[in-house]
Amino acid sequence: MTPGETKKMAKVHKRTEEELERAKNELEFRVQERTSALRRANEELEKEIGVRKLAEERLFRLSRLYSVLSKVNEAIVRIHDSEKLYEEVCRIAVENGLFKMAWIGLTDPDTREVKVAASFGDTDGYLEGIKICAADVPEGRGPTGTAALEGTHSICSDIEQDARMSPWRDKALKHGFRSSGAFPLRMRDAVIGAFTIYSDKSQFFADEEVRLMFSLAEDVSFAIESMASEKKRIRAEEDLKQANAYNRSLLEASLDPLVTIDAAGKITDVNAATEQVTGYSRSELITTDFSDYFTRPDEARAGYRQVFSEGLVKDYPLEIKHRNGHITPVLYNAAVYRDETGKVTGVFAAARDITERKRAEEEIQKLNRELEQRVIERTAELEAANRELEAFAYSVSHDLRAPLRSIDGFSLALLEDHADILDAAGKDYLQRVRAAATKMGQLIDALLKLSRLTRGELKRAAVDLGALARSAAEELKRSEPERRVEFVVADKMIAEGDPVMLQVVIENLLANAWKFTRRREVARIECGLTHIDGRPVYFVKDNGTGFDMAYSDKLFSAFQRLHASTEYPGLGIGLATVQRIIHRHGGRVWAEGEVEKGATVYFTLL
Amino acid sequence: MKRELSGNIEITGKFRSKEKEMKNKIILLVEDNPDDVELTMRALKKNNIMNTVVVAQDGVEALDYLFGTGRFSGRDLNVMPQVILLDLKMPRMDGFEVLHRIRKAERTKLLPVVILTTSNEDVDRIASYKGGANSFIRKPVDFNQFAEAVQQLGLYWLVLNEAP
Repeated sequence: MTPGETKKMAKVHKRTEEELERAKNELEFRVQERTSALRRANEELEKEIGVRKLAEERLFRLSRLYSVLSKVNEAIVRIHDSEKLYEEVCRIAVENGLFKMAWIGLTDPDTREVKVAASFGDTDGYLEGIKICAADVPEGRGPTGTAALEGTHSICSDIEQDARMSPWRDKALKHGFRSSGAFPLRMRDAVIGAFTIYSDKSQFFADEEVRLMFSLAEDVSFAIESMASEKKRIRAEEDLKQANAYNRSLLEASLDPLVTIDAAGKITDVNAATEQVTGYSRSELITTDFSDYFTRPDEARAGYRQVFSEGLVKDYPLEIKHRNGHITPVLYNAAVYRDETGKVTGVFAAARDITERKRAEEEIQKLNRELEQRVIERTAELEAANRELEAFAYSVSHDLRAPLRSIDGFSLALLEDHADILDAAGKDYLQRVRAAATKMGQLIDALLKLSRLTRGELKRAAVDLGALARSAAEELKRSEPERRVEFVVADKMIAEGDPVMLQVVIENLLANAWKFTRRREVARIECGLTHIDGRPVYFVKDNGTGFDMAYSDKLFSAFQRLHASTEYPGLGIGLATVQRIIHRHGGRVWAEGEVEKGATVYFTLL
Repeated sequence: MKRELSGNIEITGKFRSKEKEMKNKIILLVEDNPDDVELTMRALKKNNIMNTVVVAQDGVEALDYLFGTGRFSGRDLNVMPQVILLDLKMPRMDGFEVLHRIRKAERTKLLPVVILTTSNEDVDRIASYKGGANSFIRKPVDFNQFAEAVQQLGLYWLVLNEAP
């Protein structure tokens, strides 16, 4: 081996070594390069796997939330009680949505405090004693308070960091809550509370979660709103039922037969009283013709037609016919009734049984008839008595006077034709016989006149007693013009009575006064009017002989005299006549007097 | 029973010319009471009324005389009384019925009828005038008054009144 060679050899060797080195380095570089590429790829892969895992988790969580939503909607369909629904919603949220806890709080309208209505998953009393308000106070600034106050959802992504959670943070963390979301519950436009859920993960509520839970809260809101209106409807129905029952009990409580009739005249309802009075049951009566149950259907039809045309009838008389034939007289009072729009839908008719009243009326009529009959009989009796009296008076007038005429006539014939055989005493006796006969004739006439006053009809009219008195006074003055008598007659004395009879009264009283003042130098006779107890009393007063009051009761009896007929001639029948006339007028007559001081005769007329 | 009374008439003064005429003027007195017949005759006589007086004792007899029936059958019906003095209350047929028959019959309907009665009842007076009586005179108890009434009615019906 030459050095050269060696050298060459060495040189080659060295070159080879260098080349080897170089190759080795290159390889290493390559390996390194490859390794880093691999690492990078690995890292990328790992990263990708992480993203995928997260996405999967998210997907899992969202699918849970979707299932919560669908189960809640099922529950809404199934459950019609709001409290039960609240509880179910909370349970579903926890069991299906895998939330740690869920609750529903409702705001007390007075205190604004949000009270727990339902909860699930609160295993160790997080909500116990919790204070949350739907108001701008520290207890109102958490998610629940905010949602309940403002009606928007409110999310707390990290309970550990969120300042708003300070009142409840420790308690929440202790219970493992890391994030929470509150969603408003509404009734119509008002916020009534919030649905709040807690997760053990921070940052749980992303947009999609919020959207889902918000729509859940909306669904629940919608459900409770419709439940409330349903409840209202049910309550209204119940109220209506109650009102109907009340009305019906009112109808039934009435003892009067009550009926409702539709526009076609068909019965739509009746009460028990109607069943009784007709003998038909309610079901038999309803839908039949109202008019069928009366003795006169035409009048019944006319009656309800009148109600329709005039709005009501009062005391419309009809007769209800029972199926057994019994008839009940009634008075109907009926009025139309209307629906809420004011349209007439039927007639409400109430019958008042007037059997009793009719019976009473008939009784009265019967009594009246009997009374009338008795009056007729009595009148006939009186008329018969009157006729008898008249016949008697007639026969007195004829038959009693005829012999008197014979007595007088033949006495005179004796005096005229046979005077030669009569001495003075005989002639005197015959004169006395004649005088007595004449007197008896006068008495008979007076009696007949008195009796006539009790017979004739009493005709009432306005009579001026003053005018009668003045004319009677004139008559008296003419009969004895030499006497000085002062008459004082009141101006207007209008009385009501029979003019002819009252004239007899005034003439008799003035004639009496005239007669009994004959011994007075100046006589005074007054005819006037006074009042006693507010009633008119007429009087004739004189200053004549008067009378002793002890005998005043005899004054008015026929043929009773208080003075000798030689002193004051008369038949003793004047005051009896006056009394009879006054009594026939329903009045009263009395006299006051004192011997030698005058007399006053008072009388009233009905 | 029938009585016919007649007597001489003494008429003074202005009535003398009618003396004969008056004598033939018959008075029909319808009266059931003999006392009243006697007193009426006396009153006529006292007043110098000497006419022939035919007395009928009741309504039936009065109609017999006027229509020539019964006991007056065959009587000359051209002779009719100048005046009829008619009582009301009589047996068988009363004065109203007589008056009614007189007024109904053609022959007698214009005869003057004077009701001469005891009563003074309004009903009688009214019924008499309604029935067609010419006068209504009540016989007073006092004979002198009666005589006066008879005189006046004799003067009127027998002297002053012109027959229709």
